Amino acid sequence: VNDPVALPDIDPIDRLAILAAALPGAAVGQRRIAAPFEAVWRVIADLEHATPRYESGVAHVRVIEQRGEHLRLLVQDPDGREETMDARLRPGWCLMQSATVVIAFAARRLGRETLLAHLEHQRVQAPLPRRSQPHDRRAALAKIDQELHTIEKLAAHYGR
Amino acid sequence: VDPENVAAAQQGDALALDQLLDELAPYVRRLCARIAAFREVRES
Repeated sequence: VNDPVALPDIDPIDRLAILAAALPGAAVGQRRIAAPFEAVWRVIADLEHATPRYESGVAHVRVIEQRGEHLRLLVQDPDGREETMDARLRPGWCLMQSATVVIAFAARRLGRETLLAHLEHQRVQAPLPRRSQPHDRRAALAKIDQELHTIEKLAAHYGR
Repeated sequence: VDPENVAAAQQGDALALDQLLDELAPYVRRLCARIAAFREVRES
């Protein structure tokens, strides 16, 4: 308390909660993953190879520019549509955004396990009937749960 | 704090918000530390 300089940065999981509060409608899920932080983060940081394995909406990712923590990505969906994304990647924190979507991952070490949180936010949403919105939200949360489950399997593989 | 960065964050630029958190966190931390220290002295 007397030496604020020595205090750590904002915890990545807390940072993701702040981001979610600033992006109304964002879907957030988290999972305690039975793998060490390093193995989990190896999956998240391997954007080009791992992302298409857990994200069904992505077929290819290519890093086209890198300056320290800041990256520019070219992302192709399964129909061949390409989109450029700007990203910030460092251990425990990955934030990517394009004109249409914001994606974030945050990880916290829990002994030999890892707490991994994942946020997805669609910027452009077609006007939908009010009744269909809870269903869409449930679908978005289910998609995140599925992705976190797949990341856990990949982390077990990457950790070997 | 860059006002353009604040405006971008307000318009939904998540990377601008991320940058803003980096810039504001040390200030908020100092503020919280002083409040905590003040309360510690008052309650001791």
